[in-house]
Parts: sequence; C-alpha cells; structure tokens
Amino acid sequence: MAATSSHGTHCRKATELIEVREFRALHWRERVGLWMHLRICSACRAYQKQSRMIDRWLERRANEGPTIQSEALETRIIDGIPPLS
Amino acid sequence: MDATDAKEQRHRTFAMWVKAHTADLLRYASARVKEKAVAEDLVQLTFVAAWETMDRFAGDSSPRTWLFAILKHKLADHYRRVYREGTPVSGIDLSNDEEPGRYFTTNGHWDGTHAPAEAAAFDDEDQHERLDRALRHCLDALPPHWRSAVEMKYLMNKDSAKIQETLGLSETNYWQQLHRAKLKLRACIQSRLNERSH
Repeated sequence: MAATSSHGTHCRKATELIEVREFRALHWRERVGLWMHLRICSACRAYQKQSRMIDRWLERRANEGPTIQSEALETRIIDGIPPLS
Repeated sequence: MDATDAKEQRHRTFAMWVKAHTADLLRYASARVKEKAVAEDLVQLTFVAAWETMDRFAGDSSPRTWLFAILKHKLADHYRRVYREGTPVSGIDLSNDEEPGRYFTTNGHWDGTHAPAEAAAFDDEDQHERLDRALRHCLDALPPHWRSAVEMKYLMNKDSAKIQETLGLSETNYWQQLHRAKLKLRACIQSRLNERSH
C-alpha cells in the first residue's frame, strides 16, 4: 500500500533515498522521513529488501561459476603481440 | 645474446599469464557487459596494455591482481563511452524523464500494479537459479547507458565522486540515473519471476 508520512516523504522520494543511502549518510530529516515512511508503507519495505538483494547479487556475481571457453581468445591474444622476430 | 634471452623470457612470461588468467578475466567481463564479443575485446585490450607495460610491472602485486586492475580500467572506459552515447547532451539523460512516472502517480505514490509485492520471492533459496537467470536477463535488457550507471557503482566501489567524474555528470544526476535504473531492474525481475511461476 502506498502512503505518505506526516513529513511528506512519499514512495518516489523514499525509494530514491534508499538508493542514495548507499553513497552518503542521510541528513537526519531524510532519515526520519524515510523511517516513518517505511513504517507505514509495505510496498517501499518490499522495494528496499529487493533492492538490497539485487545489490548483493551484483556484488557477488561471477566470482564463481562454470569455466568459460577461452582457448580461441588466448590464441588471438598471443598472436596479437609482436613476434620474437 | 642476453637481449634475445630477455625477449624470449618476456614472451614466455606473457604467454603464461595469458594461459593462466584469460578464462577468469573473460568470465568477469562477460558478467558485466551484454555482448560476448565486447567482453572478449576488453580482455584482449587488457593484455595489449599488459604487454606494453609489463616491464614496469614490479611484481609487488600478483599478475592476476594487476591484470584485473587493468581490466577494470578498460571496463570503466567502456561504460563511459556507452554512457556518453546514450546521453548526447553533457551527460544528462533527456530521453527518460518519464521513467519514474511510469511507476509513481503524480503524488509520488506507487501506481497500483507497479508497487513492489512483498511476496515476490527474491530471496527464496529454491528460486536461486531462476532469480539468477532473471537478473542476468533484466540487466541485459536495461538501456545500455543505464546499465553503465549501475555497473559503475560496483566497479568503483560506490565512490560517488569518482563515478561522477568518469561519467561526467553531477551527483544528483547520477543518483537519479541509478534510481531509474534500479526501478526498472526491480520491476523487470518481479515480472519475470511472476511470469514463470504461473
């Protein structure tokens, strides 16, 4: 359910603050506004949770996983450097 | 004679690095750009730079760390180029001002069907693989310059100032871009997950 807190933080602003908070500390007004908003807005709570999950996935990805076929590329790279005359 | 030995040694070392690290570098790059050919080019460019500067490689880090550092530079260059192509006017994205409006009413509330659903199984362990596929798909489906904005966050360890400098835009503009991109990415993932479960 969408909702506006008494400080006037609405969903669009709240979701923006959720992203901005990754880069800088929020001002106390922003922090209070966001906190109050999240208390009454389940959609934005869901957004926050899912947004963080996406962040974690983006940070972690491709550190493991199947081996990639790279022989052709290796040959191309080695062929690309100047030969031993 | 010594010069030839040194040259041979240089070639041997280089070939060893290529054999040892190409697959990992390629996997890293492939997860971060849409086209496989672009990922391969970035890895090749990495090795070209490594070849040219290898005499200066002091060995105080491992070759692997060093190569990854070069690759990250190449990726940053790539994102900057893509970002600029998507935003012809001084880094400002004129084409997508309507985007947040798609999800919110004019009052800034979630617009009915676009509200994130709490039940969406984003963190369900059983869904792990489906989620993985959905994320990959949706990341590739982002407009290229938005993806650049998203990728920069991780490539530059959330160093806002450095990202803005690289992409050539203000702090507020960068956060706006990221917000838009995240809204789209999240919506795409939710709809993919719903689609498949019915």
